[in-house]
Amino acid sequence: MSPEHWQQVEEIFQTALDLAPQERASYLTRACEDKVELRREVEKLISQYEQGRAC
Amino acid sequence: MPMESPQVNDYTTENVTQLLVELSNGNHAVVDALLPLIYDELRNLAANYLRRERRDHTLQPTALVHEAYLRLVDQRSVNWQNRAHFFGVAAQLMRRILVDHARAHNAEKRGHDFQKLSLDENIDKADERSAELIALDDALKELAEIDEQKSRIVELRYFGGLTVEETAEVLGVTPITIKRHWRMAKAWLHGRMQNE
Repeated sequence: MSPEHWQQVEEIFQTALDLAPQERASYLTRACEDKVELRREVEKLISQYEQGRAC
Repeated sequence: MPMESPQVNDYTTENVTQLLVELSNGNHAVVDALLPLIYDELRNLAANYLRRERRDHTLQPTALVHEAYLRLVDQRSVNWQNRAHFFGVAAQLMRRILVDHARAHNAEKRGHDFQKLSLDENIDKADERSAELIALDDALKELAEIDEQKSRIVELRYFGGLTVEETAEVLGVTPITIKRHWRMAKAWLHGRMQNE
């Protein structure tokens, strides 16, 4: 993973987590635009974060 | 535990304490002098600990680091920041000791597998822990290549038992920054370890 890509993923991940859960989907649509792969990556990280919190 | 280990001499304690205060004042060059002193003590404590335990022992990283701290540092001359820096240096050494131990355990297990006739829950647990440690170590190396600071934060918190505030002190950033790095690192590691 390139540093630029990692940074982009992190920015969106951090911003999304600062939002209320119900606001995340619309934010991701705006932030990721038509980049399906980027959105999938961020969503996966968010769900991993939530799973980690549960255990 | 302290009774059975040879006593650290006063000179070493004085030396470590002095180096620690210098490190907290921003002199990072002293880490090179500090590392071997702490490493020897940690390794001795770990070896002692392992000798006395059953074969399914677990090393308790934070307990060992704390023990080394009590033995090597003159408590009257230090503050919480100095303590955090000690744990910061010890964290990377503890990681090395634990991972070396886990790899040795795995190698030994491979050699003896044919003799394993019955299922032993304790042995299985030790196997599981070793495998987890090695997977974590590998994932942290990978993370360090992408984002070194996050890898270091996980090392400090997991292997050194540092709090968010202590980690912030060691790395010279705010606790909020640590919390943000930490949540991203945890999320990434969680996914990485599941894929193992």
